Amino acid sequence: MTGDALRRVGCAGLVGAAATAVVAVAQVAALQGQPGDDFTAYLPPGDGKALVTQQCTSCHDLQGVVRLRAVAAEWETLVLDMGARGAPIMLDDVDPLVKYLSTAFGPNAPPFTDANAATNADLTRLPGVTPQAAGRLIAARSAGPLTSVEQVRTALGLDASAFEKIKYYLYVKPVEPAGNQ
Amino acid sequence: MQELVRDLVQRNLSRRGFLSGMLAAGYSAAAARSALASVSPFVQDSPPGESLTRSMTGTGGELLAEQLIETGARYFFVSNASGMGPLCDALVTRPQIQLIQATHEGQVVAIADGYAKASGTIGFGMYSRVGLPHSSANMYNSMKDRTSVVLLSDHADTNSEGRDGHEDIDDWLEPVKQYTKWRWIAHQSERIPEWVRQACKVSTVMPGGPCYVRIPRDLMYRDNVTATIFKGEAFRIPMEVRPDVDAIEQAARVIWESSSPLLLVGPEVSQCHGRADVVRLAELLGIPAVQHRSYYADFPTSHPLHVGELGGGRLFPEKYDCLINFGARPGRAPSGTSYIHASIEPLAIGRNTPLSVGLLGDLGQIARDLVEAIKSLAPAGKLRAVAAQRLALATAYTTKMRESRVGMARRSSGSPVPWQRLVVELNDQLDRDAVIVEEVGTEAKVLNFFDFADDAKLKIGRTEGRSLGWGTGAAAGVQLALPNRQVVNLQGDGGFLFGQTDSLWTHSRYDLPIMTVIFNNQSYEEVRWNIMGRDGASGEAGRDYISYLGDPDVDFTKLAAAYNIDGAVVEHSDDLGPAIERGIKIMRNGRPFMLDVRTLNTGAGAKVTWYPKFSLAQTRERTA
Repeated sequence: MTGDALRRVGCAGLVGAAATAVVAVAQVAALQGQPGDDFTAYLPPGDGKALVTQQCTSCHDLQGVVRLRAVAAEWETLVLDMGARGAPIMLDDVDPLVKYLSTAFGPNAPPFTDANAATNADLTRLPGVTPQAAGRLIAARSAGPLTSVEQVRTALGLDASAFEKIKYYLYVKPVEPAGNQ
Repeated sequence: MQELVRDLVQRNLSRRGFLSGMLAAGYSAAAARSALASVSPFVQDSPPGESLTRSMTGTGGELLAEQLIETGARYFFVSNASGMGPLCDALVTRPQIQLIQATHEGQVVAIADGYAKASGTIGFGMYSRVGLPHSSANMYNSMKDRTSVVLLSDHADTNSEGRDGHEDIDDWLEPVKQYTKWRWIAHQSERIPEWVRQACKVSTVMPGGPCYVRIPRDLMYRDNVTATIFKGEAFRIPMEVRPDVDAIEQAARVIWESSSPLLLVGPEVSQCHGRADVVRLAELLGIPAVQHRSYYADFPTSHPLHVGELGGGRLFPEKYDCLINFGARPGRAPSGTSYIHASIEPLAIGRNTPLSVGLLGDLGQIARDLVEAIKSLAPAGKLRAVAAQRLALATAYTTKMRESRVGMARRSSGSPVPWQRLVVELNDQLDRDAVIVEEVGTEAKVLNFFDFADDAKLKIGRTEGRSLGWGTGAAAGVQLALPNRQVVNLQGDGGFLFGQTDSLWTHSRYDLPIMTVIFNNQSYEEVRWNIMGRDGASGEAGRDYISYLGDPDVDFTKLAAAYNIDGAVVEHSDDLGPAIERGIKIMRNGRPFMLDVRTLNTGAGAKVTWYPKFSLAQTRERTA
């Protein structure tokens, strides 16, 4: 894993926190995760998705995973490291996991983008999002934070097919339950 | 012969004296022993207690030495202190005690702690009166682990103490109240042995812990002091406390009636020497076992029922309805789960979890009693059937999990070296019964790869207290306790630099053939994760404020060389095997070895080399 790779996504390696989570699940869940959000919704479809869901989330949420961009060799290093630390990864699962992760979250994958914080420039890094569409989304935020993926799609003005390509990379913070503010 | 018999019967002659007299009188050794056996029934028993004590007169230092000898102490771990003069004088005619010196008080306690953990007996240490603050970090570690350590210091003279004077403060004991099970300042020379005995007793009565006694220097130098010295057996207390019978029956029923029990093991299992008994309990019903944080491996790591660590990413068992805590720190049982907590420590039982049953007692004894109670609840055939079914499921999981873990570790290669590859290479080459003293991050790093069991490797460390700067000294104590076993000291570069590198001096001086292995990733890795892995500003900015260790790039073999210790730097996984082999050869020749392995940094901020640089030299206005 390179520092450059970590910095590219503007998130200093939440994977590290994921590794910590292997040994201190609850602690890191408290540190990293939004209430009720394990970030599995941000996994694009693919053959290894079920493995990631089952094996990675047995120790930690997936925020670090979905925000990281790395090449296959870097993902393999991480997967092997996690397995050594106690993640329930079987040897047969390593290659499918690495293939999925390096495809879904490789260097060329769209950056993980917070729909409520992104700038126009951030948003136009997502495939199919024009400066005009980004402007509409930013304008929509002026009425309050966007709370659902559907609100984001509507604001961007994308059809379902176009939105499907980017929806896994758009983060919408869940609404916290009343009394938990 | 008649006179000899008369003297023996009247207790004017010891049994040994009788045998010597018979031999001197021309009888054969066999005849002498036969005569002694015939006469023995008529020898009056000694009055209660008489043979357990003796009176002696000497200096306070001599009284201290005599009482220490009677405890069976072989080693006394010390650092330099003027106040130890009276003890040094006493040792001139008392070669029974071997002094082992450390360079400072913190490592004295670490050595004593390691010795106690490995030997199951008291680790004794002594250091300067002003060394107490320095010693307190490892004293805290010992307290957290309930280790039987007895520590002594000198103290200000009785005519000057309590004035906040030179090398003195008003209350020396207050700062270490939380780090000691018992503490005292002696004020009478003739009672020095009494306080030593009390410290020994309190430190060994479970739950154990460090005890600390200060003795004013003038009391140790005082001469012609008469005191009573107790033999060691006179203040040893058997600790096989039996649990409540009704509670055992209740617990047995809860366990038997649960559909998926899970055993949680902690350090008290090993402290009670109860590992084999707990394994028998697990095997009786095929109960999977998970390891809680512990400075021992409390369940054999290669046993098919050992399913991993608490909190790790276990997939087995998916659910459990009964958690049986055997000697772990207070655990948490999910809602709706029965919770049985067995402990030798009353205050720990049920501390933060509602109890189904609490069991107070020796953990080996509790396990044995539970086995018998469960056997009485069902026919043997039914017990075997339940156990076989659960064992088969657990075996399928643990076998595949272990093969995968080792397979993945072997697949990990390159430069810098993946840490897991280093561990499997060590496991390949070390003796089957090597002792692993570890202070490297989390226990999973060693539990997942080494075969720990009563007849295999022994794990000691890391401490529950986690105060770094323990392992290198502790390894010295472990090696002294177990002189015929390989001892390996596993250290991260950050932890090793926590004031313990100087214990290499002790390793070298006493020919302690310990291999120190540095997982040198140039970082305090887990701290970096916890800081830079958050959504915080330092992580976002790629700024590693306190965890980067690459500047200066420390070559630990050069550090070891200063202590006349050989070593090797390994930068690629392909070079691990030959380097470890060379180290083992040097250890077999009776010398320590340093293995500095440049390990791969992973996770948050792994490649960040930024740190808040500062050069005083560049700020100086006067350079000439």
